[in-house]
Amino acid sequence: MDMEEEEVNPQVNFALDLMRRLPPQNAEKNLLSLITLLPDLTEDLLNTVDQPLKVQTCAETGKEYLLCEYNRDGDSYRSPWSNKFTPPLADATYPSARLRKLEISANDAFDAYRELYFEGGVSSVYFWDLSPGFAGVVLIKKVGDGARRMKGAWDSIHVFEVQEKNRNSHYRLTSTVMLHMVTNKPDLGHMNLSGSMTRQAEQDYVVDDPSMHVANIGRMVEEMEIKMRHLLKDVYFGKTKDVVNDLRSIESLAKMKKQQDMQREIAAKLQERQPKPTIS
Amino acid sequence: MATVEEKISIASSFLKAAPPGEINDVFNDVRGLVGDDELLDGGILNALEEYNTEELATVDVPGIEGKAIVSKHGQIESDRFLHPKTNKVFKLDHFRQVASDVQDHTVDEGIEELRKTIEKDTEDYMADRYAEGVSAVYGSNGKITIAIVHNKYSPSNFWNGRWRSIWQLETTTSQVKGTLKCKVHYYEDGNVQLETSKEIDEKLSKTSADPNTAVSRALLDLIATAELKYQTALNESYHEMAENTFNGLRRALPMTRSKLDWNKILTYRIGAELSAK
Repeated sequence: MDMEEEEVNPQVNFALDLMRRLPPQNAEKNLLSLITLLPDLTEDLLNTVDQPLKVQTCAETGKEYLLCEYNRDGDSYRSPWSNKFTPPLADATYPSARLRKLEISANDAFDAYRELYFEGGVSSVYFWDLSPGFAGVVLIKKVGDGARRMKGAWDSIHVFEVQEKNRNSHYRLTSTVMLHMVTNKPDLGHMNLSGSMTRQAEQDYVVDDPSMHVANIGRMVEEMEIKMRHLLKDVYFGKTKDVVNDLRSIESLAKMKKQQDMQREIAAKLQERQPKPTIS
Repeated sequence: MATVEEKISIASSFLKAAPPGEINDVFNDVRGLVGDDELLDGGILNALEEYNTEELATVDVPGIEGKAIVSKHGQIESDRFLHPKTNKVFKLDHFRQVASDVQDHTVDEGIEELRKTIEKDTEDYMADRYAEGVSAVYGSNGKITIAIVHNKYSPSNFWNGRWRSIWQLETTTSQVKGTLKCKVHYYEDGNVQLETSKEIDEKLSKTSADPNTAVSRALLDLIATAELKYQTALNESYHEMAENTFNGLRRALPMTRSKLDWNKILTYRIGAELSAK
């Protein structure tokens, strides 16, 4: 996601509107189709259309990490654990020494966060220098175990930008969650409930020591994920359920109407029984 | 650069995936992306025909009361469809979903009486379960096909939904096959979609030896029971997803039931690092 307000190519807008309408579970395939259709806009499309995260294993540490546009250079991806590109690159861009130090501690902290909330999965944090300030992305991916004939996947992408002003720092966060749930059961047949949503937040924090950035970003990401999980579970998925039960009535409509008519009748009768006000 | 064939194939796959009530929006996006109206208009007719017949498009037909269903079960030619209740055939403009040129059709007399009886019972069933749904009952070659579609569009509230049922009775074998499909799109600051499909295969308790009214009643009872069972399973699955699948992916809160102490995590981690050295 590009944070800069630039003039957007109208075709990119058509692509974004289309991706907002087509089934989110096919995001990856649809993005490939868009790139085939508009090869000149490949970079723009890769930067603006979110897709599920891919996992790769770090050759040096053996730990898994996530791939995205922010740790890509050409065809190579940088591991947050070893800071090395695979396949190796002779001339690559790395975060500055100061930022890499923060990146290491952020990867450690979000590793703990991931374990506590996701009890599995993979996380990666990438930082890059801006002038002034810096930016980064927190990525988390969890694929469900398929228990109870339900398969699922959670992908979250939190892009943030930090502007340091004396003791205060301003944080801008753009978070996208992609959720995918598939169930197959005899009575149910096949059910696919998938979705993606993006939300933004801004916040100022006092920063006495650079290491505090990680805690501040952590709090914002945690807050945001709690909010978005709630929205997806209770608002978005709940809404699709309501629409289904609106399309087909589980109760007999005639019976419901009869009950309503009866209630109205009773209410009317009760009113009749009320003592009439006497006019003196 | 994509070839003409690639462009048409991509445009077609986008169109066929359009959510309920959003085919025009998707068409508009595709038009802007392809940037060649002539190429597009010449190449996507098949995709639109497939979309209209698969999604059971409902159209107004001159001289016919209510909406008419477009389905492959009533397809006479690529752009001519039967409205079984009036026994008329209408021409459909697949681009604009507009019907015209209404003509008479020859009835399959062998099954017409049974078809009419089932049509009446289906209409009663529709009125009782699908508030503004549309149905069509086709009969030919010993086979009865019931098509049911109910659309609810509310773009101003960012949601659209479609329920489709297809039920087929093979009168010679009394075999009943059903396909139930739901699509819901909710897109207020996001894109959430439900897509379901369920196949049903059962045998009817009545045969062609029984009176039409008994066959029809038994068929609609079977449909009502199966659809209720399906809808109940779908609602239960929602409940299970909220209770189990969500927690399996990401807990609402950690096991400790409190949010993270970020300062502590950092100190702990740094501490662990120092002691490891």
